[in-house]
Amino acid sequence: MRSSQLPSAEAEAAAESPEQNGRTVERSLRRRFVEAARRAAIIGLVNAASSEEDLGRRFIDELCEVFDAELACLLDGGDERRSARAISTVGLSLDAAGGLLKQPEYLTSLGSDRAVLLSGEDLLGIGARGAMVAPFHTEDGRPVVVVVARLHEAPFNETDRAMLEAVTVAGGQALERIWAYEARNRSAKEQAALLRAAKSMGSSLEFGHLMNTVAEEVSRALDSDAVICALGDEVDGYVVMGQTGLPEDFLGFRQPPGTGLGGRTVEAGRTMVTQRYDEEGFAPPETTALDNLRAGVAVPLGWGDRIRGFITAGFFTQRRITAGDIELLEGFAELAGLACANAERHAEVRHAAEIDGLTGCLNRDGLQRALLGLISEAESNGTRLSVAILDLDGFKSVNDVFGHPTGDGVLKGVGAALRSSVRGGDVVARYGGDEFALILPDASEPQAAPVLDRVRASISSLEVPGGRITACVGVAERSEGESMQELITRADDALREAKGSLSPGSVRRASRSTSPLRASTVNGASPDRRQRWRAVAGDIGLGVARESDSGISAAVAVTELQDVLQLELCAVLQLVSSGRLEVIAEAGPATPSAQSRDADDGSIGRALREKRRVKGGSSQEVAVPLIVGGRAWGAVSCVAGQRPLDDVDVELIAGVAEHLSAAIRTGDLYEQLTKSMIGTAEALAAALEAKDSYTADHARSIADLAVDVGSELDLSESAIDDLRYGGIFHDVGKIAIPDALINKPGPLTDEEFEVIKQHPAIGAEILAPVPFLYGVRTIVRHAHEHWDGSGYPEGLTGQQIPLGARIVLAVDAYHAMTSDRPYRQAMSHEEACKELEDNAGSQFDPEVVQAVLAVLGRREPSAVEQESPPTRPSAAAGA
Amino acid sequence: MRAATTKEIAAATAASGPDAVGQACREAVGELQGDPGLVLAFTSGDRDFDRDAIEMAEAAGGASSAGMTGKGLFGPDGPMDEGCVAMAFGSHVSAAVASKEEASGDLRTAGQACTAEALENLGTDADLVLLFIDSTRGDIAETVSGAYEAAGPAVPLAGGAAGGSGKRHFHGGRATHDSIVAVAIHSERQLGLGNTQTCKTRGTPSILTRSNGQLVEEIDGRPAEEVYLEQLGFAGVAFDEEEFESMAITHPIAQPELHGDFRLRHVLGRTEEGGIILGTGIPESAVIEFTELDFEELLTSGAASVQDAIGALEGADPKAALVFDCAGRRRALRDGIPQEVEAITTALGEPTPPVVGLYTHGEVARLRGAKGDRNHAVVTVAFG
Repeated sequence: MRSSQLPSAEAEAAAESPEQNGRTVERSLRRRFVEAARRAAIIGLVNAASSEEDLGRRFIDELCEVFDAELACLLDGGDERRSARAISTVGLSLDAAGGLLKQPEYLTSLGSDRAVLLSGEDLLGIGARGAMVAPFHTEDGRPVVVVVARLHEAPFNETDRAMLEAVTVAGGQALERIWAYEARNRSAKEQAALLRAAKSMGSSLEFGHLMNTVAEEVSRALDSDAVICALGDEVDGYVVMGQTGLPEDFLGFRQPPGTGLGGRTVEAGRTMVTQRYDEEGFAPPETTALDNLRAGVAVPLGWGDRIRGFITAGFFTQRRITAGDIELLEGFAELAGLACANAERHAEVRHAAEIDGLTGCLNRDGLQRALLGLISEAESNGTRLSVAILDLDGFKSVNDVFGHPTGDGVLKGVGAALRSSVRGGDVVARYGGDEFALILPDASEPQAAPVLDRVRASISSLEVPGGRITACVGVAERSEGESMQELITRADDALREAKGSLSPGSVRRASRSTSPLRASTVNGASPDRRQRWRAVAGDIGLGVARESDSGISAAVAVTELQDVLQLELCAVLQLVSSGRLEVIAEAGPATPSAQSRDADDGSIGRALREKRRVKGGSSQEVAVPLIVGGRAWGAVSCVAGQRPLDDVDVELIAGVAEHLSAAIRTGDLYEQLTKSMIGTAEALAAALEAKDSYTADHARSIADLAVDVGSELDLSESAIDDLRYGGIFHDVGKIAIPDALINKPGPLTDEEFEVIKQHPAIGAEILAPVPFLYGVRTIVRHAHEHWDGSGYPEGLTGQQIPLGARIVLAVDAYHAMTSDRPYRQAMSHEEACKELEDNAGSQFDPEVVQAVLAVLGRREPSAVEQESPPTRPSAAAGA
Repeated sequence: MRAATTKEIAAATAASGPDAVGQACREAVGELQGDPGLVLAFTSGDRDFDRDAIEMAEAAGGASSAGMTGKGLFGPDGPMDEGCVAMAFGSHVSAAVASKEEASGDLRTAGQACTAEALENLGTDADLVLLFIDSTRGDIAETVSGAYEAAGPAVPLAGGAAGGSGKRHFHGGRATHDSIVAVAIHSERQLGLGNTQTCKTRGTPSILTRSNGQLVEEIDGRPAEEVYLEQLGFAGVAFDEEEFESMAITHPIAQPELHGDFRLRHVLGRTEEGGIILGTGIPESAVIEFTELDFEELLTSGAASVQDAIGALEGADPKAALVFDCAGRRRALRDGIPQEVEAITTALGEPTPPVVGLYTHGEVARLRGAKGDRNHAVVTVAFG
């Protein structure tokens, strides 16, 4: 090819006259001018680049043009966390450019401050005849290398080298800036993804749902084609609990320990990455589901100091897995571990709350929950449902003759026999004492008969001290529209009838029952006082079981017992750590006993020590221990009225005590469950803090002030608790609002405000899984409603707005007004108070405003000043 | 109508008429000794482009065919303002044609994809890729860079941008615009590529101080048009649009290279804000020079391009030549066009082998280096 060309200045200068030489000098100066301008142009280009790709392309394109080169590439030398790679190339493929990383000339350049000049044949393995390799090292030592190569025979010279070195420094610095920017950007995105995931995971306490949530969030954040979440152990392997992007039947797949990418990750206890999933034999032979994976990264998933499984993100095409991907997945695994720990605790607590510790069957609470669910299902599907209640014949004699441990053994055996003889899908529960209940879905009374025959045969086959044991059964099929309680009552009535037949092992169907025992009990015409008391015990037990607070349960128990037995005094006492007994509840006309007494005293002390019921004072006193979780928790103490207490009365008291023990145990477990759920809520609060430190500080401050205002208004303790959490969580919904809005400096547009207005409803949804925070939800949902109806989200007015929400609104406003904003300084305390007063009756509840002002007026001036939080970062924070 | 043939490659022209393309293509194909391996056709003037595309494909039969419009043509009959020139290649040439429409969305990607597809379809090593592009839809440098990404340094690139008022590409029986056509060619004979550009500098070098893509807003910190006219000696002259365009065609801007070459950038027009628009972008801070096409050099540079191409045949006689000549040069030559064409055909030697040429709005020539976008150039492909 021929082209117009300026002659070589050096060559011309040698042979020219002074006049010609002057022109040559001028050309030489022009060339330097061109060089300087070219250098400036390249520096300008690289500095204008907005991304690594953009920079790479502009830079390398321009180098080819400047140096008349066919080949050029920009290489990232990598570091301990990032592998070396080709960023951009011209004239050769990325693979070919990647090959340069293994060339000795490349390695030599890394140790050099200057560009390496090369000339010869087939240089760098790319057929070059002239090449320059210029290194640059970022501040943290990550090398960047520029390679420029010519295929034609025209070696590079020193001028070229100086030029390349200069522009390589500029390119390297620009790349370093872009990397830093991208790292910040990526970090922000990852943080956002993790926050979103934290919210999703925090709302899930079921393992299956949780694992699928994790899989979906990981897939979204890493843009991966498939995600596997598996849990298990090194003995039985790891079961896929959640997945995306793979066939549905892959869920439940059991991966043998030490196999696959995930199994090997668990074995190694560290993150593993593969760019050749298929070639390196990671796909388990037991399934074809993973055959399409080409690259993957797996991280261990664990909690409680133990690895329990793994999360694998897979890709169907070759993809370079970056350090950022790994960090993000590790972050997910950490969050997922916390969520799993929560879910595990929840599952344990829930299991324990619903299972009878002795027999392994459902307890009464569990029975009710299961029955409600199955009734609902039967109604939806139009199917039948029967309930059977069994009572062991003569069980009292087992206890009396062989002792309670033997009796407990029998009950345990009966529980196991029942569970093994019912159909799959039937539910077995301990109804109380020696009574059991069966829920039989899809069964009419006649259809239940063979099951009940099998059950009774199973019970009678048990080896029991003193011979065989039998059970009477009452069974009732649910009628259309019948409530749970009505159904149980009919089954119970049928049982009474069966027991009344005096024939051990009798079965009565409710549909054939002619004289409901319950009716006769109510009418006071019971033929069998023992049975009547048992029914009463059941009724009291139901009342006790309905209460989640053990104090209230105790109060129900003593009131009912006192009433039924006409006791002089009935009390529930709790054994406290100091070895003393404290009265939890008592009822009766007698002078109340001391609120605290020594646990060693009298019949109560004996009952607690011996863990059995004790009668004393010529049958005037009975003490029955309350055994909770195998431990003596306290006792029920009864003092007879005019009539001495006989064995049947004691049986009634013992039956009620048994129900009360179960209620106390359930209450403890409920408290644990609540704590677990609060843990979830606290995780959300932490997430909010991570998103916006101002919001978190602000939340804590208004929580304190709201509590004081609640006290000023003489609110109940629980309402004040709600206020405290309402203050903390009133802006938790902002987690779901884009950062750009939350952090917008300056007023919001109408459209932006519409988005912001969604946050109270979102906040209420976030708190929905936490029953303990039910009252708080209403505060969160309505904390932006105005007294005159101009607020949001529902435009409620006056008293329609929950009081807690009205308080949080006023306190929030005061706090916001006394905060600095980017577009205005904080108001003084006095100005803010005046604003509250001026807007009382329009924005704020006048009564609440008076309370806020009273509280603030009592605070020390310094404390009021301290109310002013750090500079407010955004306009939306107070929206 | 006149045909020239070596029995392996034949060229034919049809000066006018609605079926000029069909006539020229059939004539060229008919002159071959066997079946054609490739048919190229170029048209000029107001024509029914869809019909032209169909006739071209029909004349080619099962062989690959492609072409485009130009701002004037030349063939065995000499220069033509309108009509068709066609060149048919025998079976020693195999070719594959690929195209991308709506290319202006991403010229680089379209250029890369189109070239890659043609190379893939060729099924053997390519000796040349002809690119038919559109300079009105963006920076042709982007298109050529995309093509280079696919072709790599081993395969030369040649071609040009469609000219004339219609500006169409022909491929697969269709006439399209805002498109790119790539013709990957394998020949059992030698191929040679020549490229020349010529101009004389005026004024002093300047720095391009503000630009945005193809728009140059400031030169030396002043409005670009003002400096451009001043450096060319037209300070204070009030050009109307037509006059400005006419003047700009013969006064491209040059970007000097470190190795001594310079790259000419055609001035497409000006903006109301005092900017000038170039055929190809120049980055800010670059040195530019102001140039003028010289009539005498224009006359001879076409022949020089042909001689370069023949020189690359490594001693083989040229059996045919395909020439992409800048439409701006044609406008500057005016009455000298027959002389330029005569010089080109003379440079091919006696007996004159088949030759076809067209005047384009931007040229493509890459043999060395990574860049192949040209302005004000004569690009010759010689077939040995």
